[in-house]
Amino acid sequence: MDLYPKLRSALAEPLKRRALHSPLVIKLVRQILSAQKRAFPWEASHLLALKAIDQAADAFLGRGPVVWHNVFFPTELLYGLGVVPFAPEAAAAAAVGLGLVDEAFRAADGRWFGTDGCSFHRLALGCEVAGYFPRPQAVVCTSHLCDIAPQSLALTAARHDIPFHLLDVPQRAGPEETRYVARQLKEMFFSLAEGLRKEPDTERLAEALRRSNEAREGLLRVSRLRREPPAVIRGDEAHGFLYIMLTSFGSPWAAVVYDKWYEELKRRREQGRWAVPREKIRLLWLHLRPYYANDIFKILEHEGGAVVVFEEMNHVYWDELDPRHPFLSLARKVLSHHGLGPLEGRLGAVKGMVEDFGVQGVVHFAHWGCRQSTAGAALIQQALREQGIAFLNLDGDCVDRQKYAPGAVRTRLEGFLELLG
Amino acid sequence: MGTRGQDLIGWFCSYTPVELIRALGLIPRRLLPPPGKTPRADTYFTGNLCPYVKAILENALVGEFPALAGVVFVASCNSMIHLSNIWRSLKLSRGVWVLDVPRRGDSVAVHYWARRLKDLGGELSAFFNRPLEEGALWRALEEESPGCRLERPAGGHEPSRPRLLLVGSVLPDVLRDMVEEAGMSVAYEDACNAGRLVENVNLTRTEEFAGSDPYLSLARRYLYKPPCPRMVADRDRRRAYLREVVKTHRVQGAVYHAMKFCDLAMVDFALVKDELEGMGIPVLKLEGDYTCGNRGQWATRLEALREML
Repeated sequence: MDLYPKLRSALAEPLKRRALHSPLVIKLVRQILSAQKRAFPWEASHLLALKAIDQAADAFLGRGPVVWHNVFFPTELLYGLGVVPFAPEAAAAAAVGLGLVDEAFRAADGRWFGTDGCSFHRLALGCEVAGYFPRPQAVVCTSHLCDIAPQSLALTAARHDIPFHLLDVPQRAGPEETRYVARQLKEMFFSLAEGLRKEPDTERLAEALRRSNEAREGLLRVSRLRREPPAVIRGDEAHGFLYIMLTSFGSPWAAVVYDKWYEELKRRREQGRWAVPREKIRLLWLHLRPYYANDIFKILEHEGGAVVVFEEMNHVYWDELDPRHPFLSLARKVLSHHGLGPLEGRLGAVKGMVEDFGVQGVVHFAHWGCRQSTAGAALIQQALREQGIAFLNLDGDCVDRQKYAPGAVRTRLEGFLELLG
Repeated sequence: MGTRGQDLIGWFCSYTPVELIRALGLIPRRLLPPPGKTPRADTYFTGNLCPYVKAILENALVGEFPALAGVVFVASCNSMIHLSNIWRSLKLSRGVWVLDVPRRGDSVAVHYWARRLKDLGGELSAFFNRPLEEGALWRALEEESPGCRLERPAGGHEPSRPRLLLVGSVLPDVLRDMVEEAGMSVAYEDACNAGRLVENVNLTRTEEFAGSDPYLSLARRYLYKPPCPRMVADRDRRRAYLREVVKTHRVQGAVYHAMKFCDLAMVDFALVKDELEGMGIPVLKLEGDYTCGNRGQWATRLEALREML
């Protein structure tokens, strides 16, 4: 895709930071993007890119109060408030494509943010310090799954002298915990509304939950279709749709994109347009993928006929929401994440995906700095191998290209394919 | 396992409610592993994980800890949560409990945690088949007075020596010795094996024992103690606490010991540095991997700090 070089050249000028806040530049970028339909492998991914840029435009042009959130926050609450959500971790992934990494890392280093931690947050902090992100008016964050997100986002809130709202999420998921989380969500909803001068409209919140349910249904339809062999979408293409899961549930457009994706998947299946000419091996991908150019999927697909047929991050882990009880319902959603609690929860979800998608192997991309995902890899590997499922723990970093060793990655992948062959 | 082992409950985090363990007639024992390499633990954990947590697992695997009836883990960070997963998987003790601790200290959190503490008490009581009586818990609360768990009391000070604040998660003993060898004295330690464990700077006993629910008192005691960096919704309180420590202990300089791969320390350092340097207190950052293998570098940097002071 030649989209990123085009965007890079549009931003590579002395006033590039200011350009992000210019309605004219944003309009131009959207027009370029809109005309680039053929640069996208799927119409749905093109639509998603347009929606994402509209969302970014709302944030950069200040078309409403901008609220930063982490990717595990139940965004239905923010759409229900009518504010503009902005996810710095997701924006960091986009910053990789826009070539901002080196500059942002230098800026983060100046804030004592070392290389031992998660580079998504290091990059996000650097982008913020360097002026590439829109100014927040409030920051919300959950405490679960990631230790560094609340720390890093609290730092951002302190730097901008704005309120920081923490949603404290226990490991347990009992009735007490549901009430505890629901109560915090309710307080947060009304406190944000008051602080940002928004009407705390509970009907709008219920509507956001209904939209979230439509999106959930759409993703479930897509997932059911993807279970059927052979695969019609390549692994890295499917990863592109994760943006919705991490930022857009509750938005008016999440279900629209999933519906489009479903129609295309169905059409290509009917036409027999497969992801690889001859599918030999089906794989499940755990955690995220690298966002810089790499050969991982090419090696798997071209040299082994191995296709990543599903991603852990696209797993629908929660039940349908009840718009009549928004806070309790969102609390249940947050608490039902398979990564919370004892490792058996994640392991059970992974085993379910292995079975549903008929995979022979699992690739865990061990993103440097993610203790939540990587520290459990050894036990997951052991449990899957006992079931005869091959497991590859691929060390790397999702955004820091310096930690990508092409030779070592190739050797690991070749060994894995040999094992599966 | 001897009689003592049948009663011994291991714990690691300063938010462990040891009073609850004592109220059941059990013996809480903090398990602090000695510094060292961790070849066996490395087979279970990736390289970039908390070295303190790895040292705990290493000691458990080689049988260096005393025989335990059980262990109470606190879900303080992802490394500790995964340690509890491996501990259960390897059956390193008969009983394993994982306790959530809120990352905020407001009334909603206190009330939630009080109920959670009561649950934990019930689980321990059922496991050991011993009744947990409120009277016994009240007595444990009284007996477990602030100060009695100080493992390394702050030493005396020579007036001529610059007074240092040491900050970190688990501070190695050797660092205190090195500070003194460098001609400075340790005025206060803000660490989960020191100051954060014992002092209740924002709490009077009247406030703590208000009401008639011992679990609420227990929750208050821990959630109102000097906050650990993980109490992210309580950052203003942490700032205030640091300012108070500097004032009370007449601190002239600070050393932040950041455990390698500790996400909490990595960001907390920025807070501490901003706060203390804003008060004119220089802060030196030393990185540690729980092996004490970088003493030469530490000594040089401590000497530089001494010269600055």
